[in-house]
This record gives sequence, structure tokens and C-alpha cells, in this order.
Amino acid sequence: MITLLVALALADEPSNAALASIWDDGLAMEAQDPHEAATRFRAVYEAEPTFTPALVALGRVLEATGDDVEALEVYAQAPAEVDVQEERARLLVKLGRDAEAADVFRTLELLRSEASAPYYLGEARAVASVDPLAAAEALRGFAGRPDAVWGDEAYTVLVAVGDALPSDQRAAFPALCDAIAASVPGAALDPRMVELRERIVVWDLAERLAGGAPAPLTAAQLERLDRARSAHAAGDELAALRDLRTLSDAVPQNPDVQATLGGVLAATGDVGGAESAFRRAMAVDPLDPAHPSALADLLAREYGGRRDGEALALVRLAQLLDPDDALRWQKVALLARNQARPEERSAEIAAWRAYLQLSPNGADADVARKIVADWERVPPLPPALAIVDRRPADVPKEAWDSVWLAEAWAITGRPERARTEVENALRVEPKDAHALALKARLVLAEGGPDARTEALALYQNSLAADAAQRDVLLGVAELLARGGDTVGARALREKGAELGSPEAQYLLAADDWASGRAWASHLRLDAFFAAPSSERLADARGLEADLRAAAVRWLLLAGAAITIVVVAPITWFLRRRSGLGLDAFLARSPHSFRDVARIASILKHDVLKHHCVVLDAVADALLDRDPEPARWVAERLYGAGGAIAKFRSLIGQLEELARIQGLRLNLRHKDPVFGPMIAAMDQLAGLESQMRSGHGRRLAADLRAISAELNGTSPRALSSLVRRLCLLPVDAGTLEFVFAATAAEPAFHGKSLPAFSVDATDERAFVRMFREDLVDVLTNLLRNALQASLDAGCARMSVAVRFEVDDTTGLERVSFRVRDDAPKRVTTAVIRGRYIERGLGLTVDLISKNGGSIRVEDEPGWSKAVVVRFPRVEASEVFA
Amino acid sequence: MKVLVVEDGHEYTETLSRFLPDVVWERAGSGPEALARLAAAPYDAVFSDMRFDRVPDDQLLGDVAETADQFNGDPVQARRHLQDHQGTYVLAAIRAAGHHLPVLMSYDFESEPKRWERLKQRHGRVDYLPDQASPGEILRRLRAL
Repeated sequence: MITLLVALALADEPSNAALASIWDDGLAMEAQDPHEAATRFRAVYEAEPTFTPALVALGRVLEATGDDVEALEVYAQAPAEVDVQEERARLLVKLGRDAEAADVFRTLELLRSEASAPYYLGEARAVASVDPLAAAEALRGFAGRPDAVWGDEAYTVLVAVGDALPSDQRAAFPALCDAIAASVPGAALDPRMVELRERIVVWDLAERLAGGAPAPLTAAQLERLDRARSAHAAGDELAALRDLRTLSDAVPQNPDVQATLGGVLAATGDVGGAESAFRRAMAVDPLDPAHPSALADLLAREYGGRRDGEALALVRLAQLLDPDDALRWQKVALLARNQARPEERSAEIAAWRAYLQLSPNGADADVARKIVADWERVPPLPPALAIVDRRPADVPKEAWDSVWLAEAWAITGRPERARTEVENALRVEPKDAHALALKARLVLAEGGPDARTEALALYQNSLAADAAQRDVLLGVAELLARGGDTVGARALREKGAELGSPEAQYLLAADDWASGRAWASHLRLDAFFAAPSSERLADARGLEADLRAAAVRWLLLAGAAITIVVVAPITWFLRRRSGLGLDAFLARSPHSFRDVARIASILKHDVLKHHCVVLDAVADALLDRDPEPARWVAERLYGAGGAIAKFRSLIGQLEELARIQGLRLNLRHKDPVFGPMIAAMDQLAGLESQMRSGHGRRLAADLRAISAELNGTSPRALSSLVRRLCLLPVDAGTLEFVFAATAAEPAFHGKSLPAFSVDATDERAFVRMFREDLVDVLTNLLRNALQASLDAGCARMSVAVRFEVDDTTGLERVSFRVRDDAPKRVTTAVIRGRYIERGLGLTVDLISKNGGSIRVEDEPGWSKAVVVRFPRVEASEVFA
Repeated sequence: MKVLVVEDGHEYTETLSRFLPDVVWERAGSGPEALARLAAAPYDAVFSDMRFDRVPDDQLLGDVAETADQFNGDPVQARRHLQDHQGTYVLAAIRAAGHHLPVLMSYDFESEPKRWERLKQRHGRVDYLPDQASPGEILRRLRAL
């Protein structure tokens, strides 16, 4: 019976002659008289329901007459017939009824499972735009069918799925690409697949750019990381993994930990684990090229070419993030040339340009020049937006996502895609300042006759939305300047300068210099160096050099005689008078105190202590006509590794410390501690030949004078300087002040606060730290205690100040015991492990930075005490 | 006179030997080595440096883990603390081992009088000289002890 039915279904003609005649008539008149043909086809089908060609023909003529609804009803009468349902799916797609079409395709997949690939593709195509996840599933099914033929259509659907996936569902797309690359020969390196991989990388980048900052390591954790690296280098992977897993659990958001873990896991053969670790590193530090580069190497090395497309996209990202490697640019360019579509070669051209800039005489430089010359001018990449931690409340999420996606596309050299995304952002939020500014940059990069005008309008709209965008102000100024409006440009730059932009200060200085206003330029440069930006530091130093050179040229022109008689003494005098002493430098840059203290301590210990203490003894020996001690000491003082060279190197370190902050030290003439010391060292340096010979009439007397300075005055002054640095007194008044300020915070307004008391003696304590650091620490502890007391309804809290002595070292520590009656919710381990809110975490870091500790301890008469301890500096007798 | 010089370099030993050849200056490069030498032979006095930042970690006296508790568990700061104040650990270890000979420390306690008073009360025959003391002063002070 079944055989018979199948035979009937597959028959070209109805089973009996009469019906066959009617069937033939219908076919004959279909073109001329479709209504009559339809009547005949209907009659044949009703008489012989297993002859489905009649149903297909009936639907076809109904469609031809415009009656699509009727045709669909006809096709629905045979839901289990493949040929009918194929027609039904086709018609549903034509009518845009995608979801229904997808259902029919799914039925077809079941009805004809051994040859169902086209149905899967049809299903995917039908729902790609409305249900991309379902489409992705269908594409996965298509790729897995033995009869699937991957071609342009399949890639088109795949791209459509990628386009349609919302940001929160994009995680499905890499897996889909993996499945396709695994199932379809040649797909992994197909240019279209590589382009899709690149898109995935860009999505990731966009998401990570908007995701906030990575977590830092404490000094202890850094130590552990170093230990793990050493173990890895020594081949002890197990030891390395122990430390790294501990660190990864404690600080999963640290990229160095994850990257190192990835490297170690890769070395142990755990490729999956290594990939996960590298991806975590990328996730928390999206702008470090080392992570995508390492992951790309892993994929290329371990998957035998199956994941080369993904690797290529990652290498390209790494190269874009670290554009100073000419050979990698060459590699990216060659790969891009092999992979890219002819109409999308901007990435390749950008790579060749970078290659030429870094390696103008490289092996492929001529080839690169020809390719670039053949390509019409491609504008430079726009700069990245400033990364901010979280989305402003007034910016819709869709606009936010699109802006960062646009930025990621722009970074990766795809301005056309960046433009699409930025348009989408502006469609959602037309007044988004970031989107407007980014669009302006893209418009400028695209070029064209109206680009400048359009960009200017966009920039101005962006400023209207957010007037404090210093970079946008400068962008508009640049546009105006290029358009010839130098007055307008200058006004905007001055506004930028008022907003604190060092870039604006530099540009104004350069403008002044170009306009011949050298003095004004000098003043602007001073303002720049007061708060320099690293991006313009080199330019500013160049301009400063130009200014100096110009001053010298002018003086030369004024006449050699005047130069000799007047200018030289003035320059000498000014140089003596200009620059800063150490006190003035530390007043301007108080955070340098640790470096200054370190250098001063080394100077005292390694130079003065070990090499200068014998000068008097040498003098004694000289008076006894014994030259040997002088010669012995000369070996230690002079030469490349001698004490004098070390002394000058340390002075150089101090000067460099100031220079990198835009300041100039003049220790020789402006510093009461170092000035005499430098003079004494210079004098000692001038005695080299006499010391080496062990003779010299005045040598003994000179050495005594130098010794008096280097072994007497200088070390005392140096010790006094180090002791003075950042010494801060703390007493009950300090604590009461901090509590009053904390209690006045808005969070505590109108609340009945617990009684606060300070339990401290009259003895003052000195600690070595910044006032704001100490106030921050105490404020956070008191705020937490205050809030906890309020929450628990407690009536009192207190701070006790105690002093504790270390018997071994004799050193004292001052402890601040913040006591309350609220329940004990945290422990020392929890706090030190940073399993706490961000504010307290920063406080713990501040405490560590200042050599202190924090603990949660039991406190008689109280629920608990959070105890902070700092080293007490014994200075009250000396400096009070 | 035979003096044990405890220092992580050779500067003191070389200088003192060069300028004061009548005294026997023997060097111990670390706290543990000093204890071993004191146990093996008699000395008239000890002259100890304070900072030991050139010795291996396992030659530092003091417990890194215990000290780290003073620095929120940070072993780097703990190790630096032990290096910077190693002279006091050496002094305590010498006394704990039952050696009551005079100890002269090369460190300027002048600015920390209370700290010095504590150490002196605890360890008996001790004195200090600032870093810039000449060889002659060092010998004079050792003899006075």
C-alpha cells in the first residue's frame, strides 16, 4: 500500500485516463485562461488527493492571478507533501511572512531529512532579520548537512545574521562561525569569514572599551606574579600555576595575571584554558596588543589552520593597537591584500602606509609605495574617544553601544562601518555629544567638498550638548584655522586653555611663536609645563628648544661684543638664579618625596658613608708623608664606577625627576643642602691627579676642608632633609575635624548620629604621609563606622589613638582604633583580600602605600574595632 | 683587639683594616654568619651596619610572614623593612644567643632618641655612631665600650 502511494505521489500523470485528460487540458490552457485551468487542477486533486502536482499547479495559477491568499490555503491542504510545502515556503517568503516560512522550512527539514540543506538555508534566510538566533541555529544546521553547498548565498545570510544580532546576543555568533569553519572546507580562511571574524573582534573591543578599568595588583600580588613568572621561566609549570590560579581567583580582573596564566596553560598543553585566560586578559585590558597577539599565536599554532581566520583578525587588532612594528604591519598588509574584497581595501592601505612610515627602506617599500599610489587618498584614522567608566544616565543604551562600536570600527580602520554605527547612535539620541564629535571626525576623514562645513556644524552641535569637551574645542579650532579663520581658532584654543587643556596651551604657544611673539610663546610654554600632557611633551620641548635657539640667534645678531660683554654674564647670572631648590621643587611636586628620599638615602649611604669618611685619615697620612692612603682612596673616588661619578649620577637622577614634571632643578645655586655638597665634590674631583700621586702642597688642607663639608655639614643637612619630608602631625583635633566633615556629608543630613569621642593622650604623633592621604583613610573608616552605627541603631562610636613598640627594632607605630557597636560583618582577611566595596579598597591601597596596615580586631566594651596602624616618626622633639 | 664587623658589603672591613691595621677586623656578611662566628671564636666587640640590602633573603634575620602583617600582608614591604633595620635584628639575635660583648652600631640614632633609649635598655652594652664616623672615631668608641 505504501509503495503504491509513493508511486502515485511521484507520478507525472493522474492514475486514470479521464483525470489525465483533464490534467492535460489544465496544463494546456494555464497560460491563456488560468481560471479555467485552476478549475481543472482542482477537479483532478479532489478526485485524486495523492496526485500533489495538481495542488502545486492550482496554487501556481492562483498566484498568477494575484490570489496569493487562496494559493496559500491550497498549499496548506497537503502539509506533509514536500513539493507542495516547498511552494508554500517560497510564497510565504515572497509575501514577507518570514516566521511562517521558517515553520514550513522546519517541516520540510523533517520531511526530507536526507537532503534538507536548502531548507535550512531557506529557514535561516527567512528569519535572519527578525529572529537572528533562530537563523543562526538554522545556519548551523545547514553547515552540518552533507548536501550543503556553501556559497555567496550562505555568506550573505551569515552576514545578515551578524548584522541583526543585538549586542546582548552576540555571544552566539563566534560559536556559529566556529561551527561553520569546522564543517565547511576552506571556510576558515575565506575572506568573507575573515571579515566576520574581524567584526567579532570589533564587537568585543567595543564592549570592553565601554566596560571600565582593569584591577591593579597590590605589592604582595605583584610579588607572587613575579614568582610565578620565574617558576614558568625555570620550567616549573605546576608551581607557576599554583600561584597564578590563586591570583586569578583573587584578582580576576587583572590582565597581567590572566595573560601570564594563558602562557603557562599553553605551555602545559591546556589550549582551551589558555584561550580562556587570554580572552579574560583581553576583556579587562582591551588596548594592550600583547593579549590578542598571544591569543592569535595560540590559535594559529594549535588548530592546524582551522582557526587561522580568527587568528588573522586578532593579529590585525594587535597591530592596530601597537602600530610601531613595521614587520607586523607588513604581515597585516599582505594578509589583508589576500583576504580583503576589492572594494574594502582601506585596512590594507593603512597597513602599507604605516609600514612605509616605519620602514621607508624596507624590503617591500617599493611595492608598498606603488600600492598606496594606486589607491586614492584615504584619510587618517580619527583619534579614539576618551574612555569613561559608565554610561551617562541621559544616554540610551542603544546609542551608547553604537558609539563605542563606531569607535571600535574607526580604531580598526573601517570608517565606513564606523559611520553606519554612529548614524544609528544619532538616530536614537540626536544630541549625543560623543556621537556628534565622532561623526564630525569621520566626515573629515572621508573628505569631500562640504566635509569641513558639515564637520564644523557637527562639532558645534556637540559643543552645544557638552561645552566642556576640550578636544572638541580644539577640533573646531583646527577646522577654523584651516578655513582661514585664525582669530576664531585662537579664541577657541584660549577657551580650551581656560578649561585646563595643555594641548591648547601648546598650540597657542606654537601660534605665538609662528606669529613672532616669542615672549608670549615662552609664557604659554611655561603654562604648558606647569601641567604638561605627555602627547605634546616632545613637541613642547622642541618648541622650547626653538625658542632658546632663536634667543641665541638674536643675541648673536646683536653683536659678538655685546654677547661677550653683556649677554654672557647675564646668561650665567640667570642660570644661577633660575631653577628650583629641592624645597621649592617638593612644594610644587609633593608626591616626589618618596623618590627624593630614596635618592638622598642612597647618596648618604653609598657615597658619603662608604667613601668620604676617610678623607681626614688621608690628610693625616699625607702630613706623615705617607702617600699610599691617598692613592688607595683615589681608586675608590675617581673613574666610571667611583664615588664621584655615582654622586653626579644621583644628582642627575634628582634633576631628571624634576625635568619629567616640567621643572628645572638648580641644586648647585639654589639649594642650601646640595649646593655646598656639590661644590665640595667638584673640589674633590679637581684633586684627582694630586690624590693619585699622593702629593700636593695644599692637598691635606684641602681634604680637611672638603671632609668638614662632606662628613659634617652635608650628612646632617641631608638627614634633616629626609626627616622633614612629608612629616605630618596627628592628634585628637585631627580626628575630630575629620569626623565633623564626615558627619556633614549629605548622606547623614537630618539623621540622629551616634555620639562621637576621641580617646587620645596629649602626646602628638608624627606620621610620614600626605595630609590628603591620611584624611582620606580616616574619612572612609569613620564614614563606614558611622553608617554601620546608624544602620544598627547604635548610640556611640569612638576613635582611640594608641602607640605600640616593636621590641626588636625599637620602632613605634601609631594605631587608630575606630570602635563601634555595630555587628562585625567583615574580617581582616576580607578587607586585605579586597572582597569589599571600592571605597574601602582604595583606602586599603592608601594604607599599604604609606607602610601601614589595617585589621579588624575585638575591642573590650565594643562590638569591634577597625584598627589602622602607621609607622610613627620620632620627630616631635626635633621639629615641634 | 679583635672586632667582628657585620656588614653586607666589604667597605667597612677594607677601610678599617687599611687605616687601623693594629686591630683585627673580621667580617661577617650577614646575621646568621655573625652568630656562627661568635659561637666559634671569641671577639672583643661587634661593629654592625644597619641596612643589609645586599644579602640573600634566606640570610636575613626576622620572619617575613610575621613582619608582612605590619604591611597588610605585603612581603615586599616586609622584606624591605627587615633589610632597612637588619642591624637591630642582628643585635637582638646576638643577645638572644647569650653573647654580651659590646656592640657598636653604625646608624644615626640622634634623631630617634626614644628608640635608642629602648634599644639600649634592652640590650645593655651598645652604642652607636653616625654613618660619617671616621675609622679613628670608630676605634675610640669601641674601646670606650
